[in-house]
Formats: sequence, C-alpha cells, structure tokens
Amino acid sequence: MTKKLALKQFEWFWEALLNSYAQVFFSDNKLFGVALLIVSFIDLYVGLSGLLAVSTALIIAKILGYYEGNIRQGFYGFNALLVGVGLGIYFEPGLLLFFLVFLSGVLAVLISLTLEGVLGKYGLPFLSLPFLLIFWMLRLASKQFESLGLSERGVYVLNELYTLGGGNLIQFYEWINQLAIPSSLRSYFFSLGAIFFQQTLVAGLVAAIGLLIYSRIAFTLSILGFYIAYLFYMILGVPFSELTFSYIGFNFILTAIALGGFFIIPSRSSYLQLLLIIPLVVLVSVSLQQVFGYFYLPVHSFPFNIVTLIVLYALKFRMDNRIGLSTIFWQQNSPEKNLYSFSNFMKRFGKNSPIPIYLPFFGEWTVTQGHNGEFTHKDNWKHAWDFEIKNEDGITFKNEGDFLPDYYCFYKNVLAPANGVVEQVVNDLEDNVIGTRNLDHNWGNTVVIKHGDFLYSKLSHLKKGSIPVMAGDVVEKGQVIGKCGNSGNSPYPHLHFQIQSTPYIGSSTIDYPISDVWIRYHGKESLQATSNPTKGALVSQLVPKSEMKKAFAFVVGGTIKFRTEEGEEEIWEVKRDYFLNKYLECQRTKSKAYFKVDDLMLHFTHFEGKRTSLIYLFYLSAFKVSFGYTHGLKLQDSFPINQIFHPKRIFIQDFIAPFYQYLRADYTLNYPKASRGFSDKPFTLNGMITKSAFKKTLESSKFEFVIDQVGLKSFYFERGNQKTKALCVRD
Amino acid sequence: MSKLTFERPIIQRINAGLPSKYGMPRRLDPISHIDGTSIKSLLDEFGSPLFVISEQTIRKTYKEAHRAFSSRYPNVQFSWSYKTNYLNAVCNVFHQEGAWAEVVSGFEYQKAIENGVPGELIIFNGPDKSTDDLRLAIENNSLIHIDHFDELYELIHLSKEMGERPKVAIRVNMDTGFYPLWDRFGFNFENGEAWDALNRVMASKTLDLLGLHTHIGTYILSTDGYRIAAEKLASLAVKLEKKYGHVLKYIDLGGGFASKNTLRGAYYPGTDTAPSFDDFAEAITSALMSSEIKPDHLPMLILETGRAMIDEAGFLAGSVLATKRLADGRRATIIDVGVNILFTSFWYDHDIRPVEAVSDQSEDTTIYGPLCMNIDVIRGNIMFPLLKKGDHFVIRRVGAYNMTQWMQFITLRPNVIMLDSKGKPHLIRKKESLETINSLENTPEHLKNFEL
Repeated sequence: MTKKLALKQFEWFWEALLNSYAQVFFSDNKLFGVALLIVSFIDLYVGLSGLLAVSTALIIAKILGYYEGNIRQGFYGFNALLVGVGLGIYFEPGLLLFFLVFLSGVLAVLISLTLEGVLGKYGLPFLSLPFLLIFWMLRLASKQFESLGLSERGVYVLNELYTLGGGNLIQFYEWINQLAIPSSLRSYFFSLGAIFFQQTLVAGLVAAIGLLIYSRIAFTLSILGFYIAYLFYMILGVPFSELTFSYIGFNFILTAIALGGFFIIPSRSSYLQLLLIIPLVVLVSVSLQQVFGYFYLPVHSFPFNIVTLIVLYALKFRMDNRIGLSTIFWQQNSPEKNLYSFSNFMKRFGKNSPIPIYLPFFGEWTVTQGHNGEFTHKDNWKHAWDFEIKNEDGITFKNEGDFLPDYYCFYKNVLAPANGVVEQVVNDLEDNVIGTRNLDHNWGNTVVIKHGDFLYSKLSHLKKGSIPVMAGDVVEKGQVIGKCGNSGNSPYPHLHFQIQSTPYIGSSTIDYPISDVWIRYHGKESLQATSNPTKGALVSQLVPKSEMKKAFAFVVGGTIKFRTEEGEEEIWEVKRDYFLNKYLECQRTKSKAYFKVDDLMLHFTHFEGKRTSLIYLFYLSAFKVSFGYTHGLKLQDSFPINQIFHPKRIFIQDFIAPFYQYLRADYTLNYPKASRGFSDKPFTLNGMITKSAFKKTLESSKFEFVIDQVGLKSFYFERGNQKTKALCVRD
Repeated sequence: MSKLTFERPIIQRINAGLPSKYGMPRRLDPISHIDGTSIKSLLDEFGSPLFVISEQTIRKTYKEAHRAFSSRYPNVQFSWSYKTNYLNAVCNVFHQEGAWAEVVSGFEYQKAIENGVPGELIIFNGPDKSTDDLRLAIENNSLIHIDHFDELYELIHLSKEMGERPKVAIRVNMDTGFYPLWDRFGFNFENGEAWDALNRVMASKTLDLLGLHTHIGTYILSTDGYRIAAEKLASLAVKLEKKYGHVLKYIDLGGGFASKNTLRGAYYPGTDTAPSFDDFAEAITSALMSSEIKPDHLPMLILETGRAMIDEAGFLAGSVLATKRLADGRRATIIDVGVNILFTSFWYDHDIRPVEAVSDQSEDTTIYGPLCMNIDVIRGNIMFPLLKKGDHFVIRRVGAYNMTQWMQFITLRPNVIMLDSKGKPHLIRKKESLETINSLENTPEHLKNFEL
C-alpha cells in the first residue's frame, strides 16, 4: 500500500523525466523518451551525467513550486539534459564533473524560466537557448579548471561500448557500421545522434526509430530538412565530411521539424517553405562557425534557434495567422494531432469566437450585402453585413415600395447580439425618404455595444427615436435596442451590423463571426457554429428548446450519472481547467471530454483518455448538438481522425496528411421528423458515426439519445455487435 | 371586320368635368384569369357556379402572416381554424406550411385527426365538447381550451378517472373596447373569474396548465384591442408565475383579423381600412415583449386567424341567368349564385366582377341569386356593367366561412376546385347530386308509392 502510494507520489517525476528526453524533439511521447534515454546511455557516463542533470532540474523546479503541468511536460528538463549530456562527453568523469552537472541542472531551470518570461511575452518558445548559454559558459570557464581534464572518450567509442556491453555489443556495433548505407544517410543518422553528442550510427538509428514512432510527419520532415541542406552544401561546393557535417546537421533536422510541422501546422506550404528556410540555416551555420571559431566554441544548435525564433516572430505580424503558414494556437506536442485538430477546427468553427455574437433580430432575414460588399462594405469597413427581409419572391417591400412602411424590415425589432454595455447611442436623425440618403451622417441612428475588451458591435440606420437604451445601460442578449429604420447613408430600410474593436461610431471593422446561424442558401440548409453569411443567404436562429438545454447545456459544477445495463454506475463531473476550457470528466477512468457550449449549441472538441469508456461513446454521439431545431433537422460534422481511428490505422495516413486526407470520420444527428407541440412524451435523437477511407465506408456506428421534459433519459450506442445502453440516473 | 357585340341601350347622366363628391365614375375591371388559368375554361370544365381556391394565394398569405409575426417575436405558431374552411385540401395546405389545427367540435376534431394532424398539435376550443370528445382529446395529448366551469370540473373528474394529466389552457374573455363583448366564451377577466379558474386549475394538481387563450371578436378593424388583450393575458401569466412559480408555455391570441372584404354599410372599402398582418403583429408582439414576462420565459405565441388567411384565396365564378328591369326602373341581374352557397353576402358587399370585358358603361344594378326567396340578394345596389344572359362573373374573397356555412337549399352545392401552384385545377369537392341528398334519406315503405 505504502509502496503504491510512494510510486504515485513520484508519478510526476517519471512522466517529467521521459518527457524531458522526448522534448528534445518537441515530443511528449513516452516511448520516444525511453528510446532517447537508451541512446544517451550508449556512453555510460554521458547517460548518467544527463540523467543527473535532468533529475536535478526537475526536483529543483518542483521544490520551487512551478506549474506542475509544465514540469510534467519536460519544459524545464530538456535543456538540463542537453547540458548534462554535453558535459559528460567533454569532460573526464569524476566527482567534480558530477558537481558541475548538478550546478548546471539548477542553472538550466533558472535560465529556462528567465527566457520563458522574456520570450513568452512575444509568444515564442525558448527552445534550446538555455542549453547553449550554459554550455558555452562552461566551455569558456573550463579552460581555467585544470582538474577537469578534457575527455577523449568521444573518440574511442569501442572502449566505452566494451565496458557497457562486452564483446557482443561491439560485434553488433561493427555489424551496423558495416551495413551498406549510403554515406548521406549515414550522415543523417550521425546527425540525429549528435543531438545527444552521440555520433554513432546506433544512436542515430535508435533515435530515428523513436522519431518515427513519435511522429510520421516529424520523421518525414527530418529527412526532408537534412537532404535539402545536404544538396545545398553540394551546390555551394562547401567542403565537408561526414563528421563535420553531422556536427551541425541536426540544426537542419530540428529546424525542419520545428517550422515544418511543430510550431506551424504541417501543410503543403509548410513543407515548401523549407526549401527557403533550410538554406538560410546553412548560411547562418557557416557564418556562425566562422565567428565562434575565434572563441573555440561550437555553434551547436544555435543556427536552429536563431532561424526558428526569427521566422516564428516574423510570422506573428501578419493580419491572419491562420492562412498559409498557420501558427499553432493549441500545442498538443504532436504534428499529427496539431494538424488533425486544426483542420477539423477550421472546418467546424473557422474563426474562433471566444464571446459568441448572435444575430440581432427575430425571424429570417436576408443578407443583402456581406463582407467585401459591392456597395459600401469596403476597405476599413469590409467586415460588415446588411440585412433586410425578403418575401418568398425575393422582394423586400410590398405595394410599390414608395414608403418606409412598405419595407418588410422597417420598424422591426433590433436586438442586442450578446450581453454587454451600451457605449454610444445616436437616436435623433430623421429617416430618409425612400431613395434619398443622408451623407452627412453616414451611420444614421446607431447603437454601439461593448461585449468585451476590444469587442464591440454596432447596429446602424435605426429608426429615429426608436432606441430605448442609453449609453451606460447594461443590455442582455436578445433585448430590444431599437427598430430597423432608414437613417444615414441608407436609401431604403435595412440593418447594418458590424463588429469592431473600438467603441466609436465609424470605427473600422474586424473579421469576427456570428454564432449558431441557421442558413438557407441556394437550396441548402445548414446550421453553422460560426458563420460569416454571404450575400443572398437567408439567416435566422433556431429557438432553443428547454428540454434540449436541460439535456445538453452542461453547467460547471454539475454531475451526470449513468447506469449501464450491466449495473455499473458512471459519474461524470463538469469541470473547467486552468485555461477555462470546459470538460466532462469520468470519475472512474479520469477520461476527459472537452466541449464548448453557448446559448444555442453544444460542441465537443477533444477527448483524452480511455476509448473503451462510456464517456468516449458519449463524446462521439453528442459531438454537435443544437438546442433548437426544425422538424427533421439533420446536423452533420466530421471528427479529427486521430480521435476516432486506431493509431495503427492512421500510421500511413500520417505521412501524407499535410497533403491529402483519405480517412474520414463523419457525424450525423437526426432530430424528430414531426413537431411535438407541448407533448411531454420522451423523444429520440439518433445518429450515426461513419468511418471511411477513400469515401468507402469502413464501419458505422449508431447511437440514440432519449430525452424527456427533465433532460436526458437514456443513451444507446451500437458498434457492430457491441451494444451499450445506459440510463441516466436522476436525483 | 368582325361583328360588334350587341350592347343594350342605357340612359345615363353625363358626368363630365371635375369629379363630384362621389368621385370619378367607377369602372369594374374584369377578372378573366385566376393564377393564369382562364375562368371561362374552368366553368366549361367544372360547371357553373364554381368555387375556385388558389393554393398559391393561401401559401403567400400564410407566409406573409408568419413573416409579420416571426420577424417580431422569437416563438410563433399558427393554428388553422377549421371552422373557417375545413375542406381537407385547404387544411392540408396550411398543415404543409406548418400550421397546427384549431377545432371547435368533435366532428372537426375527427377531421383533423383524419387529415393526419398529430393529437398534440390540435387545439380543442369552443363550448361544445362531449365527454367522449374530451376523453379522446386527453388520450391524444391535445390542448384543451376550457370554456366554462362545467368543463373544468369534468376535466378534473376525467383526469382522475383516466389517470392522465390533460393539457389545458383557460379561455379568457375581456373588455378590449369592442362591442359586443364576447363574454359568452370562456371566463371573464375583469370580474376575476379567469383568475379564479386559473387558481382552480392549479389547485386541481391533475391538470397541466400550458397556456392562456382569448379571442376578442371577429372582423376586428383596429389593432388596439389586440394590444389590450395581449397585455391582459400577459398580466395573468405574470401573476401565475409570481404566485405558483408556474411558467406558461403559450399565449393564444385567437384570431378575428379582418380580411379585405368590405362590410355592409362600411363607408370605406375593406382594402383601405383593414389593418395588415404587420399592424396586428406589431400591436400583439410589442405588448408581449414590453410586458413583465421574463425574456427567457416568453411563451409561444399562437394565432388562430382564419378569415384573413383564406378569404383572399377563394373565388366564386358563375353565370348570369337573366336580366330584368324592376318596377322602379332599376336594373336587376339574376345570377346562378345564391345566398345558400354565398353565406357571407349577408355581411359583405362582395367584390363581384365580370369575367369578360363587356362594356365601359355601368348601371345601378341589384344582383339577385337564383333562389325563389326574397332574401336572396347578393348585392343590393352596385354600379355594374351590362351583363347579359350567359355572361360570366367572378366574386372575390369568398374563401372564409362560405365552404363551411353553405347549405343545400333549393339548389345543390357546386364543385370546388383548387388551382395548384402551377395553375392546374384539382377537383377538391365534388358537386352534390340528387343521389347525394337522397342517399341520406329513408322513405317508409307505405310512403313509397302514390298515385296522382
């Protein structure tokens, strides 16, 4: 019992330790960590020295009380590891060395934190800069330490191997060395090993296999990066040998992984950019070597650090970080996971909208001018919408349309699009006669509402005297804040709606989506979680039904209990994490299903934990749920494939994922066909999850929710022969 | 050159110069087509007279009404008032558009069920609900609008007997400034009877109180009454929530919206005086929105408007039987449409038009139906063109109530056709024949034969 407890207490340490190894390649894959740990032990003292440095760093960080999440991720360990390994190989083993290693472990934590503080402000990673600083410092200082003595072990590998594993290991080593591997590939392996100061083929081979297990994309990128540099060297005609090349070769590998797929979402363009960036790294390396030569210092991974930081920092100054080279906004420590969840996120939500903004009216309106409209939505004001009401023939007025009341949208209620505070009101401009415009007061009668920092909405061309709110009033979503009119630059009644980041009338617009919009456009109907409706689209909101909200609008602090047919009880708690992400957590399995919920919809976004658990099936089934519905509404969505397919199944897909995804996992949810009035009889939502490859269905699962007045009643899931039924336990 | 049509001679005062207080001489534009289909060809095919219903117009009107309300209020539901026109085809057009059913008798209830309306989407109104009707309505989860205390007691009794929770609403009558006051339906608001009834429903614990209902009158030409009605119902809803914490699911404002027909004796034509759906919607929704009901508890707004939905879509075409001159010198035209099938001619000065362009001249005319009864007058006096025997006419805005209140008297009820959205005619009710009538009759054996 106590033993178990003790193990549990140190659980963080094992996790942090392995992650510290894996972090060298940006990974948090434990297997990869183990592989790299083994690689470091090819030289016993080097391994020990590395291990000592990491352990010191981790324990220090823990004692000083830094955020455990970061410690577990290995953020404060991997630089110490590099220093430890480096020291181990350069200096003779001895007490003094280990003391030095211990000290540098402490220093690594402090410098890591300092750089995290400095670079973090710019949203940049500190990479291996702490290692470089410490290592250069020690190298410079060591000239004064006579007792340390430079090691020559790095040169006599065989001796080391013999002490480690005897004759057999030597034979194995020799056998590997004699494999008919092209010299460029040998260099590649040497380069990989060199990250850990282990310039042996074995080290490189193990590291490469680990890298492949960790990430197919990272593996591909490592080869790509290496060979681009290799070719560039050949073209430049710079003389190099296998050894000298591998000495800095890992710079190209690390840069390729970092910029090709880790800090930037892997894509065709992220791969293509390497053609420019790797030669840059080569240039930087060659010139830095010249400078550092004067000080008898190695450049190590400095070129990689410089280029990666410069590129990432420069990319931040673009208008939109999601086009072309899309920078990561949620790092999952795996290029594959980042890619799948990013492309899924873009497909589902497109733009993030931390504060949902809803349509500012009742009923169905038509977008008569969208973003970048042909009339007035241009330049600084291009992200705006004009709304009008059309009849079934597409006409916006009755009779001849000569008078304001002829227009269907005229005098209709305009609502607050979200909770907020009224910032500005103009309420005294005359409504124009049809066909005339008031260009002196472009915006006409207008309300500006503040919804959050740098988030304002502006509703314009309202009717004179129709605005019941005043500046400073708190308004709730859906509250009437005026009537549609024809004031300002408006020849006929319409509602102008825009989102802006400053509180002024006339401010320029920002590209911010409208949430949960029911769109009819060109005969197609769809419910969009975040929407930028285009001209001609008919938009409205589905009215949420109370029983659907009771079933699916989870409130933080609540619990959901299920009893399965086998009699097992499952309890899920609704929680919120450090970053305010909401999730359901299963008490038994500790699995977490992350979700986003607003007034009208529930979206599950991400799952962590056991895929055999009930909560996983629930996560799949309630992936997208709207609280309001029309009869026979059918919701469709697709999953990030890594959340659905078995890792074996996507192994091949991973290689080409940045270019083409042939695996798909689709979600469908069907609402009741007919209206139910106020019936309190339970009703059923059913749906399907379809896995397919090259559009051929591989497997489909069915699910069913039964809902009554009180909320969720039961949940059923069927995959092949496996049938799961669970009843909701109500207090 | 073809032969000119004969036009009978008339004597008329010349009305030259500035228009007098009677305005310009009025000329009735002929209506030759409905939805692009020629009326004459329809009469040739289906006989005269003939009711013609335009599906296109029904849908258009429904959409207009729905748009007027749904663009002002978040949760709107229309319910088709069966008594206005319960021809199955007509009902189903409304159901296809999304309307529920509002019925006022066991017969109408059965008709709605037969049409396929789910029980829970039927609103059962009116003073006449038999025990069996109520039982069926409870079983079907229909919405029962209680009209009087006897019905309330019976429902409480039935709910206990059947072990079910009937879904009910209370019908409220009130003073909205209109006379006569429709206090014969439901419970009165001003004298506290409605509040009393609501308390009894809540106290019963076996009834599920879902809503409030009122119907302030019929052919209402002012929107203010609806505003008052909505305010009063909202105040009851607020009181209920305060006292019992009970949130109502819906408020049913009934119907009674005026159509564009002109009432007899009205000075201005209905086309100018009847408020639009937008006007009614603005009055009702603004009253509800500005009431003290909490925004997230805003009940569903149900509307049962019948007349304004269907009147415009109905046409009655027929032929002239004869023309004659009355003793006082006025002209009379006798047509094959009588008050037995055009019941609403008692209320309205119907808009009656020639089908074929006949003459620019018109004459003060009385239009009589074919019945051998003095009351059979379609229009008392109208400036009407000079139609002659065999000419065709069409009467506009006859969709509401005529096809339910008509009777078989002296003549038989004619065919009813519906023109679909493409203008193609469908026979939706066959004309009666001697067999139809006789098939219901039973002559005792001893009366079967006679000798004259």
